[in-house]
Amino acid sequence: MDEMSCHAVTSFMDLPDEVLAHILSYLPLLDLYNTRLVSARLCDLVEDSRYSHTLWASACLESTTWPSYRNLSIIERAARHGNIEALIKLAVAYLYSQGVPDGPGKGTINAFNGQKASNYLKRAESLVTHRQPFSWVFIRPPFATTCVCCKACVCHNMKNHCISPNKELIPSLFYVVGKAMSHYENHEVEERRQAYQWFKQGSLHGCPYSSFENWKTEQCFQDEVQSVRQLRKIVTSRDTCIDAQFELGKLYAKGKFGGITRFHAYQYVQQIVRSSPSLLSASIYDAQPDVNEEMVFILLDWIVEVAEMKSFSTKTLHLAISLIQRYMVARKLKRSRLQLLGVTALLLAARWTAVPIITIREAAWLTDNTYRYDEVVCMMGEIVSTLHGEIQKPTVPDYLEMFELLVNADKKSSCLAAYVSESAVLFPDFGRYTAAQIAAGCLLLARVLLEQELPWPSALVEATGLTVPDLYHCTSLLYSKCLTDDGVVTDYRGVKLCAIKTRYSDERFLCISEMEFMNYYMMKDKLGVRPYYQRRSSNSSLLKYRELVSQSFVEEFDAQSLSDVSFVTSPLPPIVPSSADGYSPRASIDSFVPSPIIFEDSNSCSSPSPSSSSSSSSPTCERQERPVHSIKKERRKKKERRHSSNKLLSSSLPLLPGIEPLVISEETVGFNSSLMVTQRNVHTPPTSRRKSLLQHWNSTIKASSNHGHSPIKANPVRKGQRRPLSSLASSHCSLSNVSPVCNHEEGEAEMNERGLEPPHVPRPASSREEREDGERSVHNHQHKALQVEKRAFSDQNLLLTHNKRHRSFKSNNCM
Amino acid sequence: MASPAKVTGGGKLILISGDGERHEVSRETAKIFRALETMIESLGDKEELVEPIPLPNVSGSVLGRMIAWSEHHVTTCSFSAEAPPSSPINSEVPVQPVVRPKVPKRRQPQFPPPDVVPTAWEKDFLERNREDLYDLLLAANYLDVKRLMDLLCARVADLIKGKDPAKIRKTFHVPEPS
Repeated sequence: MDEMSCHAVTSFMDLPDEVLAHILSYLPLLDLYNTRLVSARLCDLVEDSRYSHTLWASACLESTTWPSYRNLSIIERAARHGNIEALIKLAVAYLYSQGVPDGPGKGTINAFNGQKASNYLKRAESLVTHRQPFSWVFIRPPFATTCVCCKACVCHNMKNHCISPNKELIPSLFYVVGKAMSHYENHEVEERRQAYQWFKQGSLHGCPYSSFENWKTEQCFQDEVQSVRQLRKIVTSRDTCIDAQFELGKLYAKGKFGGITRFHAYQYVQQIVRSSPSLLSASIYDAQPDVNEEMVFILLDWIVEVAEMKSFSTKTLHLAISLIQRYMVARKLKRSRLQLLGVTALLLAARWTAVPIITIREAAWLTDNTYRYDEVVCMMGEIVSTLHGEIQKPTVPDYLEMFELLVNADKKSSCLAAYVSESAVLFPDFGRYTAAQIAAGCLLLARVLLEQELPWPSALVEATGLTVPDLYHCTSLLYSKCLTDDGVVTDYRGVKLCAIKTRYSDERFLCISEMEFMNYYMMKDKLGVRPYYQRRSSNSSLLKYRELVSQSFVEEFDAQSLSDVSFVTSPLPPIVPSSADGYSPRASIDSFVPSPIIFEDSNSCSSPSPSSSSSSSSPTCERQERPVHSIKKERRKKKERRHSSNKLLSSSLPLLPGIEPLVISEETVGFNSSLMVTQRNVHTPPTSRRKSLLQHWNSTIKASSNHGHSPIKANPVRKGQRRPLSSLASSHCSLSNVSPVCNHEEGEAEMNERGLEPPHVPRPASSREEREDGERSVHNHQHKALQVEKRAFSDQNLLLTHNKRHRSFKSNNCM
Repeated sequence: MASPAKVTGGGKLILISGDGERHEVSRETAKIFRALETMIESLGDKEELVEPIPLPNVSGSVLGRMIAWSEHHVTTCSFSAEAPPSSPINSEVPVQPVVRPKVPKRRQPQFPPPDVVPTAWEKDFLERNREDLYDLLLAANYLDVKRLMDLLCARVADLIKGKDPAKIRKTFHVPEPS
């Protein structure tokens, strides 16, 4: 919105103080600070009024705000008012000496900063009550051994704080110290015992998280009923201890009721199910102008690959994805920082759940050094501060474990359910379901597909409060999204991104993703719920749905359910009621033609008019002329909106076959360039994932420059748009390698093979200033784009030496 | 007692704006104005309110738009459904309360209001009323309509964000400090 009209009846300064304060409460910290200079009245309001404390305490810190010598005083002031975001950012900044001034004297830097960091963390912990303490994520071992470790200093400080009698009592600090102690790598008995003692102290002072840790240790020595009772006591405390809640739920699921009736136990499980958070993923894109679904899909696919390489558990993966989603709901994100967010979220999730962690250096390396050590550090502080320290939220596997215990699920069905649940998080379509609903849907689907008797037994109904009709929509959507290739994003060459499928084709998971299952209609039949269009109902949305499905389709349904057995060979039009406003009829052309040819094929079939463009090779398309029309119109509007904001992306990525109907029409402006790539690469079969991708990215750059009739150097790329694409690609590449050296050699060989000119030499030393200034400067953006291009081609060897230099430079900081 | 009016959500109310315009609204609609809520509830089952309610601080045109807002939100109830579930999991399960040692209480800072993402209708509403945003803001404050207040304030804050003081002064016609 532009300037206010000047003839408004009331003007801004006429507003009463309370309204002005309300307006100011929406301002980020630095803007709030700026408004002091506007007028004396605003200055009073910010500096010295009954609102000022709340304003300073609640102002958010934008993603670009990181402590530096310029704004340190402002952020410190906010921290003094108890601004949690400022506290966390300052703590991380001091912990890693990132952007804050050095302390007095060289040798004492770490001790000085450690003192500061621990003070901020203590304050933050004392403010974040009723939530799991988070600071141990930052200070957990391994500590650096070569010098004074800042983390060790913080840990030591916290210990001192806890045992000194005249300091303020913060119960959660005991937990923080205990948790840090319990993560010592060598697993010394002595340290374990110490950790136990810290937890014991914490639970004496009323920290339920400590009590839960103690309970876990003592559990095996205790009488069963006694231990369940004790756990129940922990759960009923004021603070929500998620792990304890699910642990209790699992005990109830196993039939260990600990003295209460089955009814009450199941009531409790139902409560957990009811309070489950939704995945939020649908609302992300409303607030993100620079990021779209395909990008996030590519990112998450990559995250899965990294998690697989590091053999992280499903829980870690889901937690990382939850962090990404929650962050994106809260803050706008530049496209160029998407991968940084992803890798940092994984780093945090790994530190929170897993024993083997990713170090910060490793995280930077995983992105093929697109981001530096200090950027990862800043992002870590940024995520935790944005979420106000709430790292953990219940995720799908938490519920899944509980539900599986209720039915004693075998390994096969739990693998299949896990496979489906992991695939589900990639799709924004599931955002409207809660985590519990998705978990239930996954389990139900797995049991139906494995043809188990009573796929949804009464125990599950009683315990979860969810019935098969409740889960019908979710389950069928899960089937069509996760077990078919429909929603899968392909890169521009038509190669499907299938990290999860690959992950689950391993023997650990019983090669579950390679199994063939019954087709869609048989699955629906097994669910035992009649499709909606056959039901008698006066509900308006159902009527609308029935209207959309023509009679001919119903007939086809009957014929097909008898004839087709394997869904792989069946045409499978997954007609799924996707929301109240209609359903998504998708022609799955993929199953007819190999993917690279799709675009040529359907392009030749399609004609400019939207009505005939739908009548391509799929038989189902023809039968839905009337409804498809109107829906398509809506779709097109939506798509146009998206395309206008993301022109460049649309030119480098094909349409998403699962989400948009596969209609190639004139509106896809940038489609030609991707088509070119398709044609060019059709005959080069990918030998390995890594190779093909590097070729891919190189050829996109080439193709796009050819498309623009200009050589690479002269082709200006809009600011910040090329980099994430190339960085995502190159990180794909680095994954399959064991070491960066190997990566470098192969990368070079590859480029020679492709006949590209020798890579430009980037200037790693100056990249820092470039990045910092480049984001803001407009006139300089062509130069920057060139740099980015170079980065894509960059000689990895140089980056490696840069990395080494960086490491030695940082060596006095631990990790 | 059980009058048909009660079934349809109470009788009508008459609101009179500062410049004398009369607006007839249903009780349910008027309840969106939280400032009137207690008064309406105190009316109980009475069929019709004889006395019109004067709202001297609100002009006729603004009141008309406020009523349009509340009528929309009565029918859709979009934002009341968004309210987070009231109690977390652990409120049930009858066990004796845990004896907790005394922990010194700290002042809990009030976290910023949740990010307000307007719906399509609300966006349109704000767009239509950008001329006298502040009058609407005053009226929303006076009648205590929380969501409208949040949306309007967030919108004004968007105008301030990222500007230097001189530009803010220009935008809001604030005189230079002498």
